[in-house]
Amino acid sequence: MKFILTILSSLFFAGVFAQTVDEAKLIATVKEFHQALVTKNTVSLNQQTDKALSYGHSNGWVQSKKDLIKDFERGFISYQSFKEDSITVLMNDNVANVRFVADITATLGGTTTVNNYNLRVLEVWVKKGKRWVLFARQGVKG
Amino acid sequence: MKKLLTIFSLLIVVAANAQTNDEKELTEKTYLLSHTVFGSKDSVTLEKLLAKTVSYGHSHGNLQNREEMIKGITKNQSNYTDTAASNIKIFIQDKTAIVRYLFKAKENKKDGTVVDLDFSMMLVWIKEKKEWKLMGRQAVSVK
Repeated sequence: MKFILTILSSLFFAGVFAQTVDEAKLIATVKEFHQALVTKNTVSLNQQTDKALSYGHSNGWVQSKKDLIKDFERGFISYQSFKEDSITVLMNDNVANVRFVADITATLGGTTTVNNYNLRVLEVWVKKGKRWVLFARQGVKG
Repeated sequence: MKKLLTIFSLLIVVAANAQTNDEKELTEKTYLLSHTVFGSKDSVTLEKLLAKTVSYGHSHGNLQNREEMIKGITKNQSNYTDTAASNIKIFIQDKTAIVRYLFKAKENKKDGTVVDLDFSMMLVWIKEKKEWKLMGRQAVSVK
C-alpha cells in the first residue's frame, strides 16, 4: 500500500513538474519573442510564429505573419521597449492561452512620435513538436 | 498508376472536405455563442460550447474564468438589439482554431441607457473529444 502510494505520488509530482517545466519554457519563449519584436529580429520572429499567425492590435488592426515581418522591414512600426508583467498560462494539451499586462513604447507609420501603450494581451501559443509557436495575439487597452 | 491517382485524389477530396467541415462547425458555433451571450443567455447551451477551462476577456480588459463567465452572461440584465456579426475569418492549426469577426449591437441597459457596441472579437477554439470547444475569447472595442 505504502509502495503504491509512493509510486502514485511520484507520478503525480512528475506530472506537476512536467507541466511547470513546460510552462517555464513557454514563458521564456514568450519573453524572447517580445524582445525579438524590439530588436526586429525577423529570423527569430519567423521561427517563433505560425504561418497562419494573426496579430491583433488594441485598435482593431490585425497583422498577418507576412505583415508583421514586412512592417518591420519597411519601418512602418518600431518597438522601443516591451515589458510584460503578471503572466498567466492556461494550458490545454498543445495549446496555451498566455495572458499578461504589457507596457510598450512604439513608433508608428514611419513617424518619430513615441507612443506608450498599457495593454492587456492574450497570446495563443501552440506546441509543434518540442517548440511553442505563436498562433494568435490580441491586445486590448488596459 | 491510374488507381494510385484515384486514391490520391480521393484523399485530397476527403482532406478538403474535412477542412470545410471544421470551418462549418466553427462558424455555426461562433454564431451560436454570439446568440447565447447577447441573446438567449442560456446556461445549458453555453456550457456545451465551453472547454474544461476558459479565459474570457472583455473589451475593458477585465478577465473571467469559466465559472465567472457563465455567471456573468446568464445574469446580465442588458438587452442587445440590432446585433450583427460579420467578416468571420477562421485560422485552423491542427486542433486549435482562431476565429475573428466584427460584432455590432446596441446594448440597452437596465437603467434605460443605450450604448453602441462595436467590437473586434477573437475566439480560441480547441478540439475536445472531436468537438470544437471555446477555450479563450478577447473582445476589443474599435469605436
